[in-house]
Amino acid sequence: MPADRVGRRTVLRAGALAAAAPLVAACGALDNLLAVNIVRVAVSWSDTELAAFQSVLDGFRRQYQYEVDVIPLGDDIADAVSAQVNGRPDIVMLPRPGLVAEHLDRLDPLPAGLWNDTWLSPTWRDLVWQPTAPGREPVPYGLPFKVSNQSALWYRADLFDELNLSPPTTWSAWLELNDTLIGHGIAPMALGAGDGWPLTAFFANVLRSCHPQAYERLARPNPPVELWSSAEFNQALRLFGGMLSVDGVLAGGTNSALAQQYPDAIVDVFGYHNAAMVVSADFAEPVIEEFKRSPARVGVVPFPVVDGIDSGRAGPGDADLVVGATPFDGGHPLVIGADIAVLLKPVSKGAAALVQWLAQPTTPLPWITGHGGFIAANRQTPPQFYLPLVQPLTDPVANSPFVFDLSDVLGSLGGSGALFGVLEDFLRTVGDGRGFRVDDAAQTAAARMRDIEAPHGN
Amino acid sequence: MAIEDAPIPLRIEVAVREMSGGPVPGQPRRPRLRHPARMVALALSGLLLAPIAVTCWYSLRTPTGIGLGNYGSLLTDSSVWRAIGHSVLWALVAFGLVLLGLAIALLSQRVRRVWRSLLLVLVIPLGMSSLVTGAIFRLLFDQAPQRGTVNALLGAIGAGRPVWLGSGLVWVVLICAFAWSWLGFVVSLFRAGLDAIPEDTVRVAKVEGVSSYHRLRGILLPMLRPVFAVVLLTMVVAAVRIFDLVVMVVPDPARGGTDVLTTRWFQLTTSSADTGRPAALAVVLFAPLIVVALACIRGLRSRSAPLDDTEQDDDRDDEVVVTRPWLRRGLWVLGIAILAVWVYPLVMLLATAVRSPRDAGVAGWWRPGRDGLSTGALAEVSDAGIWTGVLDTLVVAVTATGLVLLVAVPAAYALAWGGLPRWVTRATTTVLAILAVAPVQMYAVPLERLLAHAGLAGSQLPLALVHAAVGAPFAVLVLRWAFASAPAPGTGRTADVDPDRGGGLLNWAWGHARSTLTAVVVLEFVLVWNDFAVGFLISGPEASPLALVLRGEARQFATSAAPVAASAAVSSVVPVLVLLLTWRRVVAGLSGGVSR
Repeated sequence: MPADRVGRRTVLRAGALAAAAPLVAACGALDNLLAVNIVRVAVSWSDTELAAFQSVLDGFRRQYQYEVDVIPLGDDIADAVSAQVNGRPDIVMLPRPGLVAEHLDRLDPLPAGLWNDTWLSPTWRDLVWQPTAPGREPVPYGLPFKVSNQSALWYRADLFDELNLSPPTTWSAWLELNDTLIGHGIAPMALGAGDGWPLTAFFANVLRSCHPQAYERLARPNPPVELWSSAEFNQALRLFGGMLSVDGVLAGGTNSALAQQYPDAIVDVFGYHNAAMVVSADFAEPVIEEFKRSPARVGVVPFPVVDGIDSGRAGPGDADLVVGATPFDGGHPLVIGADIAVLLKPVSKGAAALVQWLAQPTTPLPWITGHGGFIAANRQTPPQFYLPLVQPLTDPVANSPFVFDLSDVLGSLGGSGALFGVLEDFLRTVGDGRGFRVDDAAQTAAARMRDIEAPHGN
Repeated sequence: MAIEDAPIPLRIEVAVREMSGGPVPGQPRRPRLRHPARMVALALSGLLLAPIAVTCWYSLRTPTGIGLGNYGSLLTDSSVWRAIGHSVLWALVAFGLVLLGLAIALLSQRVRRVWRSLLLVLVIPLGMSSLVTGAIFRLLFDQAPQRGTVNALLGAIGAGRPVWLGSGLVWVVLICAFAWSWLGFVVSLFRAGLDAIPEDTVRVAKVEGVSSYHRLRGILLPMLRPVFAVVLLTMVVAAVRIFDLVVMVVPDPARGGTDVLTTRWFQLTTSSADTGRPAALAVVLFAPLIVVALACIRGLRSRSAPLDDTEQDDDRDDEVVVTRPWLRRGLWVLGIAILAVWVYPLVMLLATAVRSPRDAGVAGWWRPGRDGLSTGALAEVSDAGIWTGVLDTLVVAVTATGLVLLVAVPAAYALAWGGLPRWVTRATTTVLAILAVAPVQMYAVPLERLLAHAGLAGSQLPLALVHAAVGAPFAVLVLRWAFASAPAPGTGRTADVDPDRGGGLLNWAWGHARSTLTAVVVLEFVLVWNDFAVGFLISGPEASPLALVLRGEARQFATSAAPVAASAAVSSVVPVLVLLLTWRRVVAGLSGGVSR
């Protein structure tokens, strides 16, 4: 009898298991249906950059069992790390490296063993390696994915050929070139300052080139407040103002340059032929390609080396800016921006897999070959896939020391309420031929930065 | 019994009651409302009242204790004063627009038939969100004459090309966009108000030789006063609460010159962890709105209740005959000119949306492109998720509208017929009016924290709930006016419907206040659909998926003209259609509530 009973129970149990098997399988399907295997990635990209990132992700989708949702947050990207959001992203592609350190409490470190020093420049360590707790060893909190070279001067090669001009390599040659172009009735530059970053990046290049040490000290959150009144900062401002205050140097005038967004500036140069040059980043390339009008040969050179300027130009009291002087202590500046993948707590398996995959050298190839305007943060990404045109911009990023754009690392001091706003007002004061105001305006700008950083004078 | 065919929407009823016993004071029976929805209404208004109270509390909390320190530090901040000045300027703009709308309404009455189509066209922009309007006007005023219509026209007459989006002139763009959005509302309401004035009054005055100026001052304007009050209130509130439009239109370098209280508040809120100063600024924004709302309530309270289901009879043929042919022709021309100005932005939008992104990035829609007609832009915004956005928005808008209906109808009924003590009704009405004008800045931060804390940010149901709470006060107020004018329940022709029972109330309301009900539903739906600020500030950028796509495309404005236009067009189709199809009834519902 007992044996019989056991037997019946066993049979029942077996039956239950048999019945459960398809149920278990169904659960897997349900998981898929309920989007358990979804990795959500928040990005700041839109438009063609968004499409390019999707084409990168397609490779991951094919290879892994995960679905990837991309949330384009645009300029509100910082919300993704600062707010506790339901249905929150797993990964955020942060466009401002300075934000990593600010939000450690919401982030988890990268999976162990992911960081590879042959892949990534040591410069990143300062920024994304942080201790998990005070006193602990720093670990990587972010994976640099995309880099932009913001030290590029794009020009209309066809126009330069026609006028028998060559692109500038030094600041003084640049000033001369501007005069020549104005003499030909051509506006030398479009600026695209409406977006903010082109203006701060322009200034950062000047400061970086003439005073690299001062740049290093300034380019961090809450820099020493006295740096704003330093001779170095002041000199960079006067150089910057000296060039941009020349009447007719900016296509459409200062006011127009301040309202124009960066792609508009590119269209102004290569689409409408209203200007000869534009200071922009490497990712201007696909925009130029899309909107250029023939005849259009496109040229690009590194941001010129600041070597001192004509003493008459920046107004009186510029004895320290000597004509034809040897370069200041720096060479070509290399100012970059970056998009860094960070993992929000808690890390899902899918997110870990995706960030692991994003770290591989060949991952961004679809973006590089299919869309352009991409420089891999990974130094092992094969360089032959970049367009020959942009190789002068991509090579240094892999091989030379670089600094981050001021507005990316200054935190809120870099934004429109601070450095950007101050530079903008500076330009408004001195622009359209009011170079005589440069000295005063530079003083005012320094004073304002001081006040913004330390409102009560401490 | 009702005389239904009267040319003016007036229903005369014979009051019938039992002829037994002694005479009793002529009061209708006032059935008490025992409906659980009244509780829901209370809870929903708590959803706004509590965070408003919290914001007031924040505004008094300073690092050194409780006090007015935050207000003090605002008063010494020159950027705050500048923002206040700009907000006052916006209120003046609103006032100017009301006068302009009144003028157009008066003229439109003289050549009725021509202007009928004009009125519908004027209404289309009202169905579009501020972000869409902003996008349209930024494209129109593009600096490059190759792309921007305005500079192309100015270039053609050799007038140079002003930097419209630079500081200073960007005000012109903002005001044009604001006027384009709202003028239809102003004109429609004034027209409804004018049409409701008994013809005979005007005719008698005319026969007696009263000049048209005196007819205007002595008869028309006084009779329009309630409509005027409501229109002015709506416009001033809209102008002072302006936020989305500025965010969309103004490029960063021109921000300082257009900063208003709302954008200043946003800057303060996002740039630091301090809650005190932004809260104080929100109160500074709220206070004048309260005053305006109270003044309006006072002005309206003295009037007797309105009559609803007054479908305006547009076909009546009482066109004021304009005898002077030159005047008649002039009015025609004016009508057609306004029509053209109002239609053009729509044409530009649609024509840009069907170009390839490359063509639209370098050339205005009137210039031949390389690719001809293209669905490229549409494909791009589809990839960016516009269709999911449409669906999500639909869910939120329908849910919020449903909630408002569920709550507002019983609440309004209770206020109108619930037999509540007079002071309770008065107090409730006042509180509702104040809630109806409360700017989102007054409750955003506490609600945002609550949602984030509960892990609900970005999800739809709580957002719909917030939207319902935001929309309910206005709905209750308007419905109360309409219900109060309906015959007392149990005495009228629908005596068989028992409003105290479940669906009975909605039936009763539909029977007696059809237009007002439609107006409430349509306006709530359109407002929620087009919302950006509430979703964005309370639930994060993901909460308004349509705005997310549009703003994403608009990061690079001119060179993304085609996708910007495509996403603007796609996100406007539903609300514009809903508004157009119901507009006559909506106006009847709104003006029925105030014109008598």
